[in-house]
Amino acid sequence: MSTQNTITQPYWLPLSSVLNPQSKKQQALIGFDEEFVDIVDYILRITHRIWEQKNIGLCYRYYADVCPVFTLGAYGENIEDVIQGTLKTIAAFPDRSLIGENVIFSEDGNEHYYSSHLISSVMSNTGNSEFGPATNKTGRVTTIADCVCFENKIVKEWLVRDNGFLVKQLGLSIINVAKHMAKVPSKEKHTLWLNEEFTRVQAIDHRTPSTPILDGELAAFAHNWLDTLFNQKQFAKIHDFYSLTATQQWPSGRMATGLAQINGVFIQFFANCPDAKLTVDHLAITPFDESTTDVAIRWSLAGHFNPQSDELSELKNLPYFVLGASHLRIKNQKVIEEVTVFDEVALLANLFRAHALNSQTELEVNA
Amino acid sequence: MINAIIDLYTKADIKTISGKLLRSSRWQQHHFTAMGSLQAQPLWLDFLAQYGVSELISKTHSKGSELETLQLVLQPKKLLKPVRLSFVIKYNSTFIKSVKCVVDTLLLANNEFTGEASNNTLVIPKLPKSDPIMVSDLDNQLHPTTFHATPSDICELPTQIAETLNNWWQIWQLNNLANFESVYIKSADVILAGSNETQSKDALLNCHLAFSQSLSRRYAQLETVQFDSASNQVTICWTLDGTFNAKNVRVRQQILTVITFTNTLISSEVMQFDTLALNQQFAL
Repeated sequence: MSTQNTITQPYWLPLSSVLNPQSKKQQALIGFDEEFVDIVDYILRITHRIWEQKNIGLCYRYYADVCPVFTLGAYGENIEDVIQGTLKTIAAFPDRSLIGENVIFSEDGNEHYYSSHLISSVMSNTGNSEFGPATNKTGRVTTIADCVCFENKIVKEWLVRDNGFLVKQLGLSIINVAKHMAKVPSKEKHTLWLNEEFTRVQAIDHRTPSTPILDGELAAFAHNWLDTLFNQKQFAKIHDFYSLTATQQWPSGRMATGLAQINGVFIQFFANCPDAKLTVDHLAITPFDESTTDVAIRWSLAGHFNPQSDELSELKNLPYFVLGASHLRIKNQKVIEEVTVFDEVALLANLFRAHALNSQTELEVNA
Repeated sequence: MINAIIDLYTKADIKTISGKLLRSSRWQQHHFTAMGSLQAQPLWLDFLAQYGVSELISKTHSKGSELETLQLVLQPKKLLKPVRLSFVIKYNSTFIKSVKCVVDTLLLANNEFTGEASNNTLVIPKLPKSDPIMVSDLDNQLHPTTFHATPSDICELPTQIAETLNNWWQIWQLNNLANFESVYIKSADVILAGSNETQSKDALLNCHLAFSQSLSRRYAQLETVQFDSASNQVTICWTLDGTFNAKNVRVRQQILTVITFTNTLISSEVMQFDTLALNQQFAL
């Protein structure tokens, strides 16, 4: 029943149309509430209801009781974790908007839908948050929420948010906030997950091309993009992947247009982790219009930290793990727009935690 | 859409322009990106509050295949001299998706209020906090094996105009300053940020040389090029990256150039950028 070209596309839609879809049902959505016309509509409307209408309790309706939520900063296991996290964030940022910019999705044979939701938020920090005391400043932030949806419920989620860019707009230093966050110890399951993921990614042979997890030209393109640039660091090949005026948004305010600037972003970022290896963990491909296609990639990167700032020198060579997601808009076999998101604050906080743990262990050994 | 923008400044009509913006629309002004009318309204209100409702002195409008350009010269009630605002707009029949608005803040700072004198120190504190972007250092050399956009690469142009425009771009990308003599007609009019007076092309040469003195390891990058065949006009959005020598910090200036051709040569050029926003963004 999937009729992809008539699936909801929010790019030109006002909120009033998002909330009142007029099209007929586009996907079977077995087990989902009848009101939803397609998976994009489901994601956009439940996000609005939970976050913007502040119906946090609707998580009970739209999340499974057991719903692992993976972020670089924390791991949640069940519905109560989701509700508590949502409430805390809304209290610290009470006017947070969640503007659904795009939903790229895939559908598997057993009625599971996988959505990758690109969200922009504008939010004022009027309450104390995980970053520290209220700053009373407003910022905008980009999030990518990857969800597995089954019978009207989200059953698994990977959440990446560009907290680095947000923190800078709040007038705070990423390093100071990371140090502050590192004072809160990680839960055991989170540490376990980080360690397992680090080991998994480090074990790959990054010099050989990865096996595409989907068929088709664009899936091969996405794998090739990541293999060539992230794993093999062949930055001279950027012109094979990007159009001459492609735009690129990377975390913490790294913005680029065109091949030279994009090259600069890659080289400066990978200098932080020169031995980085990367795995493609999920891929979804959705048409955007007649001539362009959107690709969502969730990926994991692991290596060792090579700090570019003196303030971080004590963290040198510590295991460096990133949970990231990228949305690519592709035209004529070239990326014309890229949004890549990961949480650089959580990344540094994890490094500070690991350093503190190592120091403590050393002290104990010496004692 | 164009009228909604004009009415914003001349009638303080915030409602109409707000209704044209989606929540996901971007309004870029003073190197700050506002999302939707919620964040854009403070920008508009600040302008109205500081300078008053304006009288429209002149407007020019051109249409490219994807973007439209609007240039306004406004006489705000509280200022003695006119100011210039330029817009590059992406919209469909109902909504605006993005606006890049360049306010000539030097012109504002050099202006005079009807009651008191204006200057940089009065203008900068009123600017929104610019986006905290990171300008990654890069290899600014144009190696033979690397690829760098030229106007004709990214916009369909008539052959002769393409040639002139590519040569114009070489002035900024390759420092081919001799091209000033070949791409302009002798009496070409130039309007440059900081002044509303028409100048000769020498003003552009001086501007180029000023950039070269303050910024080292420069790199010019095209963002968009739009051609309006009816008016023989090209709008170019581009950026200039460089290391600001006085502070050894990488910066990125956003620049908007509108070029009008007579036959195949440039007869007029408007070059706009927001100097004070750049100063604020990178603490220069």
